[in-house]
Amino acid sequence: MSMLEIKNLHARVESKEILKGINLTVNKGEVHAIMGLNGSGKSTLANVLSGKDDYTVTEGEILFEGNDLLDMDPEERARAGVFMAFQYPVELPGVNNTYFLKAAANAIRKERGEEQLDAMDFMKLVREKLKVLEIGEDLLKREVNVGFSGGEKKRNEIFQMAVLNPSLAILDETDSGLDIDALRAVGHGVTKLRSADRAIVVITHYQRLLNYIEPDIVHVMMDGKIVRSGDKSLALQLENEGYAWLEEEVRSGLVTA
Amino acid sequence: MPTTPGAIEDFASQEYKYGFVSDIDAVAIPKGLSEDVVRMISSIKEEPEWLLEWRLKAYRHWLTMDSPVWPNVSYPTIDFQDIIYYSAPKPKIVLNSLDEVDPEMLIVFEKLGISLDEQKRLSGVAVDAVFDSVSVATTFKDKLAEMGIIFCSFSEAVKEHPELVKEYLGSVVPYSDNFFAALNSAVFSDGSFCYIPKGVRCPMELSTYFRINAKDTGQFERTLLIADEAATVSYLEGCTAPMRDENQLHAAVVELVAMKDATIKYSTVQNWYPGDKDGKGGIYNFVTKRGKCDGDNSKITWTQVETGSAITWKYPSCILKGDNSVGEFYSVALTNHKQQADTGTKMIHIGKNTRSTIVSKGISAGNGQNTYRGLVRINAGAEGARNYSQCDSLLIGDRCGAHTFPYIDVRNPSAQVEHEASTSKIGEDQIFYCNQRGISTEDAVNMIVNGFCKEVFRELPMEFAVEAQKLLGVSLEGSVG
Amino acid sequence: MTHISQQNDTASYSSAFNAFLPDRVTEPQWLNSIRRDAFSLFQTEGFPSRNNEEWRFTPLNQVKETGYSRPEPVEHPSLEAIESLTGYSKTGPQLVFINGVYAPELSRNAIQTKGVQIGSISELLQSNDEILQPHLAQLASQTATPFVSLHNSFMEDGAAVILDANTQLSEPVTILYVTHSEQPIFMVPHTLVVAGRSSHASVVEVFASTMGANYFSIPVTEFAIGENSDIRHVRLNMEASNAAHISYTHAEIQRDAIFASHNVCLGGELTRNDFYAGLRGENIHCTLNGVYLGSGKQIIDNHTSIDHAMPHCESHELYKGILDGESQGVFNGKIFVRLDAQKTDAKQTSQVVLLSDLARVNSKPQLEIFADDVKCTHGATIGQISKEALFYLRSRGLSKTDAMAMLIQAFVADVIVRIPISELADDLNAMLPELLERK
Repeated sequence: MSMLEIKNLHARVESKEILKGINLTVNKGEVHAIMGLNGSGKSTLANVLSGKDDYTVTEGEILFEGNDLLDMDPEERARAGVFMAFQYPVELPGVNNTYFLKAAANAIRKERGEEQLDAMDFMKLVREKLKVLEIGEDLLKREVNVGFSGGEKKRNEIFQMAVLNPSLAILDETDSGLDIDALRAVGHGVTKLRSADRAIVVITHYQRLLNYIEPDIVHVMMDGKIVRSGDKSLALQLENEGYAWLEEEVRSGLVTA
Repeated sequence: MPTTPGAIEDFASQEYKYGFVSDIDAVAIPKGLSEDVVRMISSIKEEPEWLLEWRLKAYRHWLTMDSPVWPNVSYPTIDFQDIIYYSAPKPKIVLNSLDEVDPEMLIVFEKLGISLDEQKRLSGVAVDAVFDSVSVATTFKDKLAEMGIIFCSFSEAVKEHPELVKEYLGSVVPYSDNFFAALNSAVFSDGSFCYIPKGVRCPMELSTYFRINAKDTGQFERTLLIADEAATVSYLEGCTAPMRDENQLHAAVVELVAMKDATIKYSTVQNWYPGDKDGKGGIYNFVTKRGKCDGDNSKITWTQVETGSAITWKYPSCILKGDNSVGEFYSVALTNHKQQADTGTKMIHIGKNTRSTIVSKGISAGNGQNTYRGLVRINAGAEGARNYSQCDSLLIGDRCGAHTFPYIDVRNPSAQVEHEASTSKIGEDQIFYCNQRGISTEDAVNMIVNGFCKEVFRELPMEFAVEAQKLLGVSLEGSVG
Repeated sequence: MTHISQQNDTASYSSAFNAFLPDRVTEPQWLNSIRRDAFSLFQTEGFPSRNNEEWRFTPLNQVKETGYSRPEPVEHPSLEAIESLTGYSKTGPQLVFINGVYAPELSRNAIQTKGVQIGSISELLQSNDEILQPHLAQLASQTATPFVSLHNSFMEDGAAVILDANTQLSEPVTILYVTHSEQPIFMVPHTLVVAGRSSHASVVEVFASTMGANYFSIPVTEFAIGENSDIRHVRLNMEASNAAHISYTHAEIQRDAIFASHNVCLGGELTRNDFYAGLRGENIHCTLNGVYLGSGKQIIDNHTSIDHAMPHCESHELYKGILDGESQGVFNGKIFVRLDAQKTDAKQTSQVVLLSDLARVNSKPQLEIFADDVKCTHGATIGQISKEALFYLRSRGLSKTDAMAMLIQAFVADVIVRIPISELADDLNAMLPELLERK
């Protein structure tokens, strides 16, 4: 059984159709990259997967470990093991990072019928993950994403992912707007979280991140569909040559979309 | 797709939970205001001549004043002749214990979750409950009396300690101060009086629950609190009110005096009837609260959680006269539906090395309008004065508003004045972010609102902090669809 | 060369302009027409008056009344003499301009990185003007201030840094604008930085002088910052103590980009800096920080303007000033949040320490917010060095002077350490005691 199976997915925002028939299968252990220009539907796909409001699925289905993902609330998806690293991680002023993460981890554990972590066990887990990702402990004392630099926010997302241990992680433009050092940190962090039990979908606008996270498969989205899939050389080609050639191929029918 | 649509909207449309009218007979004088009415109030209360004179001076001054207009607050003109200026529960007997209190009244307190019995037993709090305008139950008085602390109703103080009342009444808020202070000075019915003698640390939190009950009754409380040299006191004030159709006017005056080395902490939780969803009914809360740090090294802290009333107009202020004196203001003000709040503080620095801190948290939901209006004035002689102000606004939904007007008037170059302001919105995206990490919407809203208010909550006495959180929690309860 | 007569109006610049135009016959037509338009605009507008709110605290008497002339060719000082002006070590590419004119023998700009061009505008105008044409003298709006149009009228040289997509410069580019003149001259040095997609570079502009004459520097710096790029800028004003310096810096920033600019003002009798950052795409992180040290009768006036036009952008602004003697400081920080700019996160802080009773400061935050889902904070402090802190240090044995110096240094270092070019931040931090000593 595949980890994630998207079949002929159509979705709209208000009256505008954004996704026009997405087909995508992701197996555990795989890393997929989804690239595309602004407005191609990349972020809509991520939002539909995580269960955000404002999107209406008009056709098709999404199966997560064989279950109907669209039938689940956002928190149910999270508890089932779907993790979204957001493009714009939200600030929660006054809410302590550790407190937040403990609430999340225990909500997920409860769903799985696992024991609740007490403060001691939780701190042990958290410290272990910080060490793996080479992040300082001061992060634990801070308020969720408040006053974080762009790079810190993205690293905090990866840290949360490490603690919540999802089976499917979706990274939505995690690399946009990062300086070189932050990009390296995020890239290496994700690479460390690759495992045979986990699938990762990396949605990105730029090719740079893929220098750090080597994808098994690269997909290109255009106008709400995946128009081309290939290996990582496809990403390099797009970065160097742009999307015009592919658009031309799609228009002239060289690609079946 | 299953989601939690409009969870925040639901929260914003939550209705007042404490709405009810209790059925107790009230004694009242006819509607309207005149010199005769002022004389009548004074005579019912068997007041001395000097106090009547003071009331009359206030009344005559009030006649020369116009009802104030504020740029961000709107309400229909109040007909001051359509208000009953005095009412007292019947039967008018002096009560010695709770057993003598009208059982119906006890039920009302029970509904509010603040039964006197429980209060007494559990928290050791002395309770002076004002039901409408006359004190009906005063407890722990003897205990306090042993230490020389006077804690009684204002009427009683006028009779028992006229010299103290005469010396301090109007010393912080003169009757000519503003329109509503003048009105209050003319017709105030009752309130609390507290005096802590030199060097005494009041052993318990003093508290009063105010409640407006009789129909068409304006409530005009007068509170006077004096902390003599090196005395320390913490005073709690909390209010809820039953549901009403007509708007009710409340114009209280609170005066605090802190002598040398004295400390006063004055905390308020205000949850009066705010009117219904369409803005019908609700209390007009026009309060003048001011403290004077008269002596060196004195300190006054105002902490307030304002969730009720249709209109709140309130600026608990500090006059920092003594050298090294400290004024603090911590506020959470929540406006929902059509509520309007115009609140803030004034810190007047007169003495040397005076310090003040202002932390204001405004939460607006529905069509609520929340205004912070503050003045920090550093007078020419206030060498080394310092102020830190922080005004944060949280918006819930997109039909509400937050406004900030910090006035800073610095006349001494050695002053340090800092001001920070922020406006943010509790968004569907914050809720969603928590959801996506497995946290339910209800927990998420609680987490965010309490996080926003925590700098103020931690200034409240423990039992009040719990009550304040509960109050916000009650508003959030069941808001998740 | 024409000498501008001592008149207090713009007409005095006309003869200089008319004498200058024939020198420019060989320049590209597009630039020549920008130049002519700029001058006619300058003539129409004239110098700003004190009634103009934007210029209320900027006395322009010195600028209007001194007869500044265009620079004559001079013998260049030695490289050692120039290096010693700034006092910190610089590696990496360096462009040196003497009196606004490129000095190739003092510069090193042999760049091995493919897709990166670093050179003088004068040379590029001759060899490859097409790469300048889309941007040069067009990013900073000529209507912004009359000094931008005056600058564009006479602009002929300066530094250009052009980065292709995905190029990265590991070492900062240093641009030294050195005044070497005993005459009261005026100069219009221009810096243009064009950053392609996902590129990265650091640019350091230094303004310094070998002599103490009264001169007038009117620099304009333009940035065209492409998407996802990371551009860091430092502006170091070490002008002579009699000089007037009126600058304009303009950045056009595209989505996902990072722009951090640090403005360090030490010198000049009159300094006025205008910074404008236009945030044109989503997810931009923009930082405009500054520190200024005023003494004597110095006037240091910083105006910043951050224009949030698109959602999800962050801007940070921290300005710190120390004013001694009879010096005057101005901080005027505008933040526009346009209707579309939801989720904007803008933070502005201005802190000033007054060391004397005669020093003055005017601090004016100006937030204009048209979007409803934003986070904007501003804070302003004006104060003195904390007496308690001073006492504490003295109680540990430090002299009053040393204790004061330590506290002032700590106050200033707060901005310096934020400069995201670590070697420069370290050097400047180490130099702080000496720089403060000089004041």
